[in-house]
Amino acid sequence: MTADNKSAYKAKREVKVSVKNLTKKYGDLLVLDNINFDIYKGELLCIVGPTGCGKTTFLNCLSRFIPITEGTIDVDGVPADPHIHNIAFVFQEVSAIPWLTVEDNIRFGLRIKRLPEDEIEKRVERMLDIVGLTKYRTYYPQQLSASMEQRVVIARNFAINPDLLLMDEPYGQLDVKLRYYLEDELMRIWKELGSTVAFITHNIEEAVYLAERILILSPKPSTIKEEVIVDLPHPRQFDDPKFVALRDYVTESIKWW
Amino acid sequence: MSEDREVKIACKGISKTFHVPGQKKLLHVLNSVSLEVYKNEFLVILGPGQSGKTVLLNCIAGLIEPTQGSILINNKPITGPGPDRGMVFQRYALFPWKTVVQNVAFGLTIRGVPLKERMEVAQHYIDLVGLNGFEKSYPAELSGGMKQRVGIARAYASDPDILLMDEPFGALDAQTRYAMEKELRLIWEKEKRTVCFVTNNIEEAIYLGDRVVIMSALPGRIKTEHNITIPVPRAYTHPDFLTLRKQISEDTDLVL
Repeated sequence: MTADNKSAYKAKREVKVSVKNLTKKYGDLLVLDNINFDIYKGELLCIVGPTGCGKTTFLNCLSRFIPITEGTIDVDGVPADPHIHNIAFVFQEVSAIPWLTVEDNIRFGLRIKRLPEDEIEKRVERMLDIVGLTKYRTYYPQQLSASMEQRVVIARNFAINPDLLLMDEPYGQLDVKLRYYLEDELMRIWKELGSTVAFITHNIEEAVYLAERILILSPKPSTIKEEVIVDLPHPRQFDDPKFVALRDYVTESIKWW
Repeated sequence: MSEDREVKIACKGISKTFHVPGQKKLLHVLNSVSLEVYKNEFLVILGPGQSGKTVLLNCIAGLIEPTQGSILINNKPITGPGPDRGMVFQRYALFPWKTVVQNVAFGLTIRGVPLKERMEVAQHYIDLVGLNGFEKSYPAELSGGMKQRVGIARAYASDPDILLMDEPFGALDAQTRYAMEKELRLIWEKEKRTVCFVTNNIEEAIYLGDRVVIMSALPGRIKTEHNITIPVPRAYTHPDFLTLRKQISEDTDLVL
């Protein structure tokens, strides 16, 4: 959490996404107030904030689902453009395409990108293998549990090698033991593919478990209150004193309850 | 631990099986579950995503009948739902066309309690859950945490002996959950009832419970139980809490 710690972290990284002066208003209501930050290539960044801080608005702005009032979002140095860049999004509500099988769900984005068939098949096999769903490849989402469905969505998103993968509390409704299992799986996928991931959560323990870096948002109108580097080796243990200290620190920073 | 060792709820050998439409095999949800709940105890039933815990709670509530086994409440077999058991649901189940005070007073209204009296009782519980000032609000105007407080006030207002809570904070974000857990414990300390609280969240179980009973994955049976002796109010990151959490995590099944 020191200044040295942060500059050391950033020194060896390449900027992938650059957000400058991001401001969002709904009429007169200012939700996001002049937010500036970079996301580094291959980084797993977690963004946390107090309940109601505008995190969903923030994500929707980043993914360009909604127009921003002011500011710019650049990917690889040029303005973010859906024709050039892929910003993928895993929602809180599971969104597997119900009329496609597991493997066709994974194929879906790859086909839209018009990749060659043999490359598509290669990626589908790889993703099925990484998420351990190979034997469920011909199943439909309704035949799977909620957590398996969510993993299909995650596989589908990672398969296209997005410039930025945004995840909005994807494990919110699942039980805690399962959450840890899926968080470990996410780490494996992330490490293997080297994707750039911004994971948004209200769960501070989850953020400390996953993140290389945590951005802490203030209450509305949101700005970036603080930035914390999580310099702990994987696998992380929730009862490790260093983990606990970091969790307590971030909790104190946003605690309203 | 509570000195009231009077048994309020006695479940013996509860099994529940469902016929699933379109499938030949039966779904065994509960497998001979026996459980006693003591007067004014805060009992937590903890289990993974699919362990039959809601089905067990619904059997105790009298909403469904076990396939086998018996349930005695105050030593009498149950024949269906009753005013002795108040319920709080995960998705609130509030009447959207009724105000907060009308929702809270509902159980009393249908029992024919006179208006003045039921408004007083409702007000008492609205104050208890910290929603003073919101009496005339509608559920759509409230946050998730506030809606659930209405649910809790409503359950209390009918003056049940027993409160049954089915993952009441499961739909809330992690921080609102912490806030509600703290609130609930404070409310319960002020007005103790026998509580049966179902959750899949280990931290929540340890924070709230006097005793935690752990259910296995389907078919659900009781694996083990833990008495929680950490003094209240409990701190989630206290070393004793974390040690117990690790232990309980090992006792819990992973269901993918």
